[in-house]
Amino acid sequence: MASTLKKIILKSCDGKILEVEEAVAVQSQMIKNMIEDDCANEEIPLPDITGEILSMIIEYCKMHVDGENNSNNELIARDADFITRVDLNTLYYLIVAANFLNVKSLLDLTCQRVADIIKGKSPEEIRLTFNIKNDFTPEEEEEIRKKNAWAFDYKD
Amino acid sequence: MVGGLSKTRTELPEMLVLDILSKLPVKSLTRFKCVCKAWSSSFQTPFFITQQHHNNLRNNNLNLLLKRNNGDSYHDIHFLSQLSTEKGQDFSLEQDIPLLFFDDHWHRPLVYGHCNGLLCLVGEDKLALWNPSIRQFKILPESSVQRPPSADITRFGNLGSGYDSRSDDYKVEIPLPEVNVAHDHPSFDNHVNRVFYWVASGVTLDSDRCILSFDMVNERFSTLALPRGLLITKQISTSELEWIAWCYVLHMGRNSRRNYVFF
Repeated sequence: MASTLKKIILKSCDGKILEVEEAVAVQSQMIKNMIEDDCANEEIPLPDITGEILSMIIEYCKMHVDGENNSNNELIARDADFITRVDLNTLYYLIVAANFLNVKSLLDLTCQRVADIIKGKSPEEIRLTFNIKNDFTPEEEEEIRKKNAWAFDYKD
Repeated sequence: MVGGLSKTRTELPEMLVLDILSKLPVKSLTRFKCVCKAWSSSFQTPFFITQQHHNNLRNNNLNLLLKRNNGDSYHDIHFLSQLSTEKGQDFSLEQDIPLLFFDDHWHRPLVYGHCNGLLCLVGEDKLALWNPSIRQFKILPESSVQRPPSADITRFGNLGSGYDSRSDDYKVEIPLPEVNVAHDHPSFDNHVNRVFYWVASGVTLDSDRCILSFDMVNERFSTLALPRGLLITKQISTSELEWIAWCYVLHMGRNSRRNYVFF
């Protein structure tokens, strides 16, 4: 089919041009909508996504298109292999980009990965991770900790 | 490390942070309540609670086994323990949960039905919903429905609890006492698709036993005749009858194109 060979041209914010097969590009709901509205014939500028992040997203989408006939377990293993290579800061950029491009499965995967990384952390570590200011008074915080003492038992 | 990115930390929009947080287990969220006020209040919105519950069901890490410890003597304090298995590993979490508000009775409270991780607990004269994930109990107020004066309202024979998606709320249903519902509560859930079923007598004029159902969304009772062969069988215990009726209800449901055509 001619349409499957069609290439979509994406341009990152740092000027990198990537040519992507349509079947891979439509993993992004945003690009799929643009194609359907006939707005994807020229290069698509992506103002907030760097070339490196965009390459990673395309690698992910390609992996899913190529693996369409694979078993669910194989896909889960590939996803896990892909995501464990990514550090926390890069994960943030991937989340923002996956959200903008509307790649639902990648957004789920990246958010779940961050959740898995932070789930055993203390509130202090979380404030550092997300750059959050504690707006509770010491008394208020102590009250919450006392009420939920069981959740501060870190053994699991 | 991706070149250059490590130097600057990107700020995630609040909506995406909440997306991440909604994938956390309840224990982490309970701990993170004291991170800041905005998080604490976000965790209490119905939208977040629903999303978190949905995500965690998909992750399948909410397996729960309950073990009741009665202690060695009548005077021991009774409690339930929570055991869970996670991701196929033999991992157990034992959390003793004292049931402070229930009388110290050796066979109470009983667990009467569960729904979305909530359990309905029944004591001698108290009803409570229990959410084991957040270790919270909620004692239910007395029903405002008027009952006949002869009715013994402090005993709960057979009741059903469930989630009504239309009102986005949980309901506990108690059949009115002028209807006799079978007393031996079967050890399975007595509801399918938000409709409860009991084996009952005294509902119809001919006083035959029948299957009484209650649609908790529309709050309407209906009856269904028991399978014909069953009525002539005299030697059958109430609990056996409940089992057969239950299988019959499931069978009817599966074989109909519409859900439960007999309403």
